[in-house]
Amino acid sequence: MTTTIVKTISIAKDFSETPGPRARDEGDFSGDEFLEDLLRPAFVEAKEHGATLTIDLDGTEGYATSFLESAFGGLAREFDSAEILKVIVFKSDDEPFLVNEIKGYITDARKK
Amino acid sequence: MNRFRSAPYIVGAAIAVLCCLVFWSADTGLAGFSINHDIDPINLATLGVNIFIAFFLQYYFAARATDDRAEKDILIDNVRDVFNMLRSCRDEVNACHSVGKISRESQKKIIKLYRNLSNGLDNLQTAIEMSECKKLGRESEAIGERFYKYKAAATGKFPHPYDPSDIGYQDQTYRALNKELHSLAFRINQYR
Repeated sequence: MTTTIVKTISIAKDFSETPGPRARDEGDFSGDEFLEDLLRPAFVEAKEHGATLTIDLDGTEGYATSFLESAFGGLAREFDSAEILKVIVFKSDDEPFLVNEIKGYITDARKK
Repeated sequence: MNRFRSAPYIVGAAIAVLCCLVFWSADTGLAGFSINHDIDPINLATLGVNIFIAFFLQYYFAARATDDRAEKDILIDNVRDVFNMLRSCRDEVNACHSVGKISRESQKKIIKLYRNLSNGLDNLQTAIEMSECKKLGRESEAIGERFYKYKAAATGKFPHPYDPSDIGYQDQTYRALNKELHSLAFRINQYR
């Protein structure tokens, strides 16, 4: 019997309710900070264990494109886009359009 | 308004009075009228078909046309809401065009407005999928793509100020989204 371990990152609870800009030197709670401190380690762990990583996007004041592109596009520049979309599940009840927006940054990242 | 609503009853009553007059004239032989008391099955069938068509048109097509119009009005109201949200986004972003650095407060406000716009588009998409115009749902996906580009043009460089090329790109993406929304509103209105 196989067990799918599910890990969840709530951006509002585990990172910040006010996600910031793209780079660390541009302000607090940047996309780069989220990528390096939370997203990448959790993704690598989930990938190694064949687990699912759920990213809960609810509870924040909203996301600038700079943050989303830096965090999720940044992950896609390091790992395979298809693999990311297989491992990560997005949850956004506050703003359902965010999920497709982020998936767009993941699939477009390699083209840059 | 009430006069117009009662018009069918007045017309119906006038037709009934006219019929009574014609039958009475025919029965009494007035003004050269005459009446044949035999029942013609073909004429009877024609009368039945005519009455059926009249009722069918009245109760089925008229009711359906009213429902379709009401549905379209709801969808067009949703599109109107989205237009208002889109204009709010444009105005707030335009207000930041001449500033040296986009303040944290302005960033928050812009992000909130784009979230409202995003949710307005989501509501519109949901309403279209629930309506008889559900085939237009696929076209609203194109609107989603335009929205992502417009949001990226406005929030992709936070907190750096907008340069002339950013402003140009914002205008382009705004116009593209605005055009898609106008097109959707017209397609909803004309949908059959």
